[in-house]
Amino acid sequence: MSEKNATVIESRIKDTIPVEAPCLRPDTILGKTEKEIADMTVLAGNCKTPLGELFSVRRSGDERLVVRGPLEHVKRIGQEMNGGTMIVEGDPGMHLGEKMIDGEIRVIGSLPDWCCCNMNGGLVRVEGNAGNMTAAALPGESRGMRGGILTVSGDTGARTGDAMRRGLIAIGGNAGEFAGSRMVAGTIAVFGRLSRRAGGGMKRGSILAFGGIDELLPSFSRACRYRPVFIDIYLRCLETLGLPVDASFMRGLFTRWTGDCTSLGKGEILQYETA
Amino acid sequence: MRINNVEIIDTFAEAFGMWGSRFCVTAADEHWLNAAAGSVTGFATSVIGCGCEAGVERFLAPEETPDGRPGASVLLFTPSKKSIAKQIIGRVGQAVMTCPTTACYDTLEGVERIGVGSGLRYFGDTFQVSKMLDGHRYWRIPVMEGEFVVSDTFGIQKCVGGGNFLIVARDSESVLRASREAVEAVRDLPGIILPFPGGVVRSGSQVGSKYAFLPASTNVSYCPTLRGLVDSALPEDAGSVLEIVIDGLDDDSVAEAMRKGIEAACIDGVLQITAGNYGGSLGDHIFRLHDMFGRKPAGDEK
Repeated sequence: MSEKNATVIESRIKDTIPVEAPCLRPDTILGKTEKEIADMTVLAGNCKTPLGELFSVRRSGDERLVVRGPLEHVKRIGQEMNGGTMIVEGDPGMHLGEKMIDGEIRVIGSLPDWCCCNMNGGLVRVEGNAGNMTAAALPGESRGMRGGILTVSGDTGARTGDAMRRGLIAIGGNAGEFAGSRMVAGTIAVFGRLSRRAGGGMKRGSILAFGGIDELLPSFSRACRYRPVFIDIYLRCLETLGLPVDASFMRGLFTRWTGDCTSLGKGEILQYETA
Repeated sequence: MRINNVEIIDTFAEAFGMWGSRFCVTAADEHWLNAAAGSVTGFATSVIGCGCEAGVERFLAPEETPDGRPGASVLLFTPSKKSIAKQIIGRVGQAVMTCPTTACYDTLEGVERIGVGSGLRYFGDTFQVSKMLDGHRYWRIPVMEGEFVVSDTFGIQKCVGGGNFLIVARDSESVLRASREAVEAVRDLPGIILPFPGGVVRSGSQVGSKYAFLPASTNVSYCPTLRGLVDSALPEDAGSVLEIVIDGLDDDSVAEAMRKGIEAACIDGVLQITAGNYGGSLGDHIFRLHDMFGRKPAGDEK
C-alpha cells in the first residue's frame, strides 16, 4: 500500500501482552506531528505507555492513516472513529471499529471475534474473514449495529449481526451459526452458505441468502416465492463495494421465510432460488 | 426578426413560479411502465383544472434507474408548496402503487423535501418495512402482487411553469405539422415537460371571461373564427393557431426548450411565432422571444 500522503504507524510489538489503542483512528491521528503521535498514550497490559514505544510513526501527509505490522494483540483500533480513512494491513486485535460513527476502515487481513460491535455509521471493508460476534451487540447491550456498512470478503463466525438495529452487513463467503440472531432491523446479505439457526429470535430485519441455507429454524414459515425489487437496489450498492454479485441475482426469484415466531415474527429470510 | 422566412414577433412569454418535483417510476417491463407513467401523469395538463401539471421528462434505460429496470422520469408541478405533497402522494398512491410491478424513487436532490413514502407506508397496515441505504430511506409496502417500493421523501424545488410560444399558420395542416416538429425537437430535453396532449394546446386561454364565474376563457384574440368580431391579433391570412406550453425545473431549461421549439416550428406554411402574456403583470418569469436567439440571456426573473 502506498505511503504517499499518508501517516503510517507500524507495530514493533513482539510479545503477546494485549495493547489497547483506541487512539489509532484517523480523526485523532491525522494532522498531528510525528512527535505528537508518538506521545499519545496506549495501554500495554495494565501500564499506560507512549505509543512511540510500541509503534514507529512516519508522516508524509494526512490523506489517510495506515496501520501495519504485528497487530494481533492490538485492540480497539478505530474505536469510536468519526471520519477519515484508515487502512489496516494485517490481522488486528479485537474490538476494531467498535462504536464507529463515520469514515472508512479497510482491513487487508482478517478480523478476530468481537469486531465492529455497536457500529453506528461509516464503512468497514474486510478483505479476509471475520470472527464470532462480528457487528454484534456488546454484552449487556440490547441493540447491536445501529448503522453503517460492513463488508467481509470471506467468512464470518457465529452470531454475526446479533441484535442488529440498522445498517448493512454483506458477507462474501459463509456466515456462521445464528447470523442475525435477535435482529431488530437492518439487512445481512450472505453470498456463501447461511449456516444453521440464522435469525434466531429476530423481530424484524432482512437476511438475504444468495448461496443457500444449511438449516432453517422451525420458527420460520414459508410465505411465498417472489421477486423483491429492493434487492436490486442493494445489489447495485454491493457490487460497487466489491461483493461477488452475480447478474442472475438481479432478476432472480426468492423464497420469503418469515419469523422468528418465538419473537415478534416480522423478520424475513430471503432465499435465492437457483433455476 | 425572421427564421426561415417566419416572422418572430417581438414579444415575450410570461411564465409563473411553481413548485416542482422529479421522480422515477420503474416497472418489470415497458407495458407496465407505460401504464403507470400514463396514469400518474394523466389529467395533469393545467393547474387551472387539474391541480397540477405533470409529464414524462424522458424514459430511462435500466442502467439509469435505481433498481435496474426500465423507468420513466416524471416531472410534476403545482402552484404552491402546500399542494405538491398532496398531489404526489395522491398520484403515486393511486396511479403507481396500484399498477403491477412498479416502484417509485425520488430523483431530485432538492434541499426541501416532502414525505411521500412516509405517508403511503401506512397502507402496509404495520407490515411495511423500512430500508435505509446510502442515506436514502425506502419503504417496502406489501401488496397483493408482491411489494411496492417507494422512497421515503421526495425533493422539491422552485420551478417555472407556463413558458410558451404560439405557432400562427396559414392552415390547420401547416400548424399541426409545425407543432409536431416543435414537440419532436423539445421532448427529449432535460428538465422540462410539455404537459398538454401530444405536447400541444389548441385552446389557449385568456385571463377572465364575460361570464363572472369563469376565471379563464378562450383566447379570443387568437381564434381565427372570431376575426371581425373581436380585436384580433392574427395576421390576415392566418387560419389556425396552436400553442406549445413548457414547464421546467429552471429558467434555462425552459428558455432552451422554447428556442429549440421555435426553430423547429419555423417551416413552410407558418406565418408567425408569438407568445402568450398578460402584459407582464402576472408572471414572475419573462422569456423574450428575440432574446432567445442571441441578443441577451433569456428567462430573466422579473
